[in-house]
Amino acid sequence: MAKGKTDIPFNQDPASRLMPWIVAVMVYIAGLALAGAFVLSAFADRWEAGLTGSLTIQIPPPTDDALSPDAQTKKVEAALNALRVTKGVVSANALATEEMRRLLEPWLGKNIDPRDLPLPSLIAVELGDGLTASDLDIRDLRRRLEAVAPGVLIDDHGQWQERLVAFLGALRLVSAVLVAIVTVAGLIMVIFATRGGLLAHRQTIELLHLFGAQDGYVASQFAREAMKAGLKGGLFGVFATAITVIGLGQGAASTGAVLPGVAVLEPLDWVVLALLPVATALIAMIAARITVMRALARMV
Amino acid sequence: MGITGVIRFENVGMRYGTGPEVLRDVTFDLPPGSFHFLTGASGAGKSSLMRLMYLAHRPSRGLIDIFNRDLSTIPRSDLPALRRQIGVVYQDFRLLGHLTTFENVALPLKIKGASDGMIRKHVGELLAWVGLNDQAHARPATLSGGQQQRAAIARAVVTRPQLLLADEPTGNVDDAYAVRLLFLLQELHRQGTTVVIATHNRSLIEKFRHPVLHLEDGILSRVGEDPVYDG
Repeated sequence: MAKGKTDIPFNQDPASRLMPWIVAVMVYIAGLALAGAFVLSAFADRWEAGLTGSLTIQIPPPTDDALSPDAQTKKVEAALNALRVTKGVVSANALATEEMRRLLEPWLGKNIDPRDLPLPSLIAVELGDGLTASDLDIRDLRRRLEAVAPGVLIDDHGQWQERLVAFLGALRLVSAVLVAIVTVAGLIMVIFATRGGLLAHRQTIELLHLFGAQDGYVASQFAREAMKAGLKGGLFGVFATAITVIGLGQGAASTGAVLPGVAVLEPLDWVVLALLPVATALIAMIAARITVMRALARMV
Repeated sequence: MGITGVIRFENVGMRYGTGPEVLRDVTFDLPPGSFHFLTGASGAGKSSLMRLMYLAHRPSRGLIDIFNRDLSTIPRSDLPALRRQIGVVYQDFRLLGHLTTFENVALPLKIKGASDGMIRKHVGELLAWVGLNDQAHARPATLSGGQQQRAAIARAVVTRPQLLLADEPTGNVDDAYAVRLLFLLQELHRQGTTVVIATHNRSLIEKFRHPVLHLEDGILSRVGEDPVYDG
């Protein structure tokens, strides 16, 4: 007997011939959704890592015009001294006025006069390895800073970070829902294609039964065919996903510093994507087998 | 009537779906190693009776006892084992068009789980026996009607069944060829296979003089050793 030849002529059935291509489209959509979720996770992790080990101290600008800029400088110096003796703080540096102007330049233009727009003084605080704001005695720090610079604000970026994480979480949920929808749609497609196959090959199946074939013998042929279609379609779909992701990564890289690391997947993400065809093949195989076994149980 | 034969029918009725009964009160008993002709006009119910015998259909009433097992109590999962003891030559051959002659003949053995070596040996022998050795790799569509017939017979007997059923096996061949086919089937019968042949061919029945089961409008009107056919 020729190896791999099935007793049922699946290649004569249009639904079977079309199945790998439909699977490929579904895997492509699911692959993109998964890749999107991976990129968002990496983004969230990167932002979180960049912000959790730091604090920003804001010293409000002098409200009294009579106060000299020296008084503000003294407050900043005193705050810096207080910060540098705080346990867990690795460094504390005041942002130079020039640096602040450069940061605000895109919105306010080049000629900012501090008299027109009083700016707060900012101090960037770096914490020790693995430390976050919650590891510090913030109440004590606030008390000490308030003593030297009344009205001081301590920003641990928590609020902003929470909103960002919630937003990214929502986006990841959308990706997961999309993958789930595509999986369910794929399952339904496999079930209908298998039912179509059962109908198209009814006479052959009856003949196999009359030769003494068990339901499992017939079902295994459908399952094998569905597995092949799932694997073939899955490979095409993942290949298309990989090309799209790599293309987007290169596009993001060409923007320079604007979108650093966007659409770049980690090795583990690629492994998960590479496993999609295997998962697709398994799901298709199991769905086809169950469909056939249930249908055959109703035959004589 | 005791349980004695390969297959026994007692007051069997059969209908397709909710349609009228196509077989009514059919009662007969086939002893092991017997050879019967099944006769009757077109539409008399020969093919339906055959379908019941090769377990393609369940009766709507009555008792069928096959290989000493009551069909009504046999679970569905046991049917394949029983079907493997029955060889069938279908009227329209039912060879699978995408398989070669060799693969078609080998199919029942493959289903039975025979090894490749055993399949090669048995199928090779049978193809030689029916004179199709040189057509082993041909597709059914390229075979003549007679060759397809022989391939179908080879497939029906490749598992050495206890019961061989042939539905109009001589329907598409000339008389001389029909006689050759009957000798082929008689050879199997001599080896102990119980044979039932549904046929219209009166000259064959007269020549081979085996007992006749005669159907008329779904009723078995003649059962027994009398080979005289008056249909």
